[in-house]
Amino acid sequence: MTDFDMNVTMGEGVRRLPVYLLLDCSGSMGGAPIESVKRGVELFISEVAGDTYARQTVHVGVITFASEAALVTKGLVPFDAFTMPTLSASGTTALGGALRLLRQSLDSDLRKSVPGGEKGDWKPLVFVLTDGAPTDAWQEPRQDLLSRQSGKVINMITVGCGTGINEEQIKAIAIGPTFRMDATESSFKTFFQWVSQSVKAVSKAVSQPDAGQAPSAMPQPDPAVIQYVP
Amino acid sequence: MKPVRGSSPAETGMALGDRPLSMAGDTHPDWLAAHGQVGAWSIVAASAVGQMHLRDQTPRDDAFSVRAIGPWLAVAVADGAGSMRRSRYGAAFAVDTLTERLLCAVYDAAPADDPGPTGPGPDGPTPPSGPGLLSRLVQSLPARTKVIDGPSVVGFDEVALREPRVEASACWASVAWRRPDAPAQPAALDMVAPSLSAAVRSAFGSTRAELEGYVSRLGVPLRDIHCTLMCVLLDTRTGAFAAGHIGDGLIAALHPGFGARPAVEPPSTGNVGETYLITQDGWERYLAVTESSPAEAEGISTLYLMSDGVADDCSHPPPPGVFDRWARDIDREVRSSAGAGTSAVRLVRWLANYELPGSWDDRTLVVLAKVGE
Repeated sequence: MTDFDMNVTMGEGVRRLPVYLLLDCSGSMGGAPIESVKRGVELFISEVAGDTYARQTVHVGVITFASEAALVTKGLVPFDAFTMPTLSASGTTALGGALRLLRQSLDSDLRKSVPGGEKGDWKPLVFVLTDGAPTDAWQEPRQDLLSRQSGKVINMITVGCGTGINEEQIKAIAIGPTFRMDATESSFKTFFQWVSQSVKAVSKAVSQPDAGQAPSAMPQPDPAVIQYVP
Repeated sequence: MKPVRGSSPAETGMALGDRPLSMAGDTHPDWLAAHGQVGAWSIVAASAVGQMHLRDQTPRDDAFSVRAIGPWLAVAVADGAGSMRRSRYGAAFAVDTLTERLLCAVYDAAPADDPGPTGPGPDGPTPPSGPGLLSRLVQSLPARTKVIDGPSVVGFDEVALREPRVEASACWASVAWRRPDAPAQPAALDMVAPSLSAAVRSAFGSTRAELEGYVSRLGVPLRDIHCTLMCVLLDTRTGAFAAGHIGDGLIAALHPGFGARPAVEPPSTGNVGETYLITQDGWERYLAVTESSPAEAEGISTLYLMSDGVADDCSHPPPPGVFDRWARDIDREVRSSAGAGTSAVRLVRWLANYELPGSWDDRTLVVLAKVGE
């Protein structure tokens, strides 16, 4: 140590940016759509891996929902430890179950700020991708999430894909901005590119002005592919 | 670090830190260190451009200002919004203005050319003078104050700050002294505002108004100079202080017996990188102000003001209790140097060089340490 070095205890942890992907794996996603989702997740991994800043802060949680919902990452995992989950399409659309698992993970996996002490995680980014109407009870788990949302604890973006989407219903389910797109491979690719860009942009946002409901650093999706549902 | 003798509180008047950026252009440095002493309190301050700014070849957006009149010490730190091209203009102007307004709120200034009833005059004390005075002051400078050597961070390498000789030619500085026994502030030094916290609130309001005038002169909208803002107003005679804060970063106090804790906790948006700003609409809603109780003031040994680039690096365990350990370590390191000047150079070197995952923002830290007279 030289005269000008300093011996100071530093935090080994980082302020994490939790990113949840809620992916519809119901039977209607079978075939080309689920293959596109797989390629999309791979794209997400490769895009974020190329960004030093995002890699250091992003922690990923993947919840799939078909007849049952599952937190396939078993919690939030550091991006560098995140691997491609096994995805297959079958069964019904337990979106309510997925929202319930999201709530449980938010309660158990998020680090909360301690008044007068350590800071907690950043507000999570949640992306929901579904191609149809839920087949289970979603109202109560949604209400549970809304009660958290009243404290602005998450940023959730819902995207309905394909022709089976009922815009009114998806708006009723969603918490936060809602979008729609078709179910072509190029649309899925655009969606996951947008997710990746959002995560990268938000992870290195520096002192942005308060933007209200959504992180101000988030880019808008390509409106030619992903349209906002007002 | 030993206290500097011969600088009794009533004789001190100084201004340190970032200068406001004028219409003439950008003079905001990438690295800045400053030090001083007011009464029993030593000031060690430093600010270093963040690694992301170095990579993107963008300026440092943080700014700090330290200003003292008599026993009153005003310190401010601001973080310009990284998304705004001229935010450093706002940060530098805001800290300079806020420290000025804080001191305006606590003393009833006499005209600058009025020596006042106790100042030197026909019947007053004879000030020291003559060619030997300045040389004696120069000799009293910390002998071991060197410039930064052998840094590892890319930015220092880029500007070739590798040897003291090169570094000395690559930096610029003002070095100031006051006559050690010349009473500089004969005016009344009593509180004008009803309380310290009222002074802080009033100074924030004045600063916001001045920022509006500043952008008008610059010919840019207020959003172009978006910045956070925090301050401490300290009575160095008693240790009583008030803290005001809007946006991210942290003001904390260390009590050797009870540990380190935030002195004030302003609202937070919770979103990555998003923060509340002195320059936004409805800024008053997000301003938090606290005032120390006499008991708190008695026991506090050290105060810290830091931008989020530092605060985020010392607030996330493991290890458990990381913030308290960090605060005690900083306190020990700042006090361990031969003088505040050496501490300031060590601090800026450390801020510029330490590496942590997820840490790439500007880093600014001002430490106020009670060292005794």
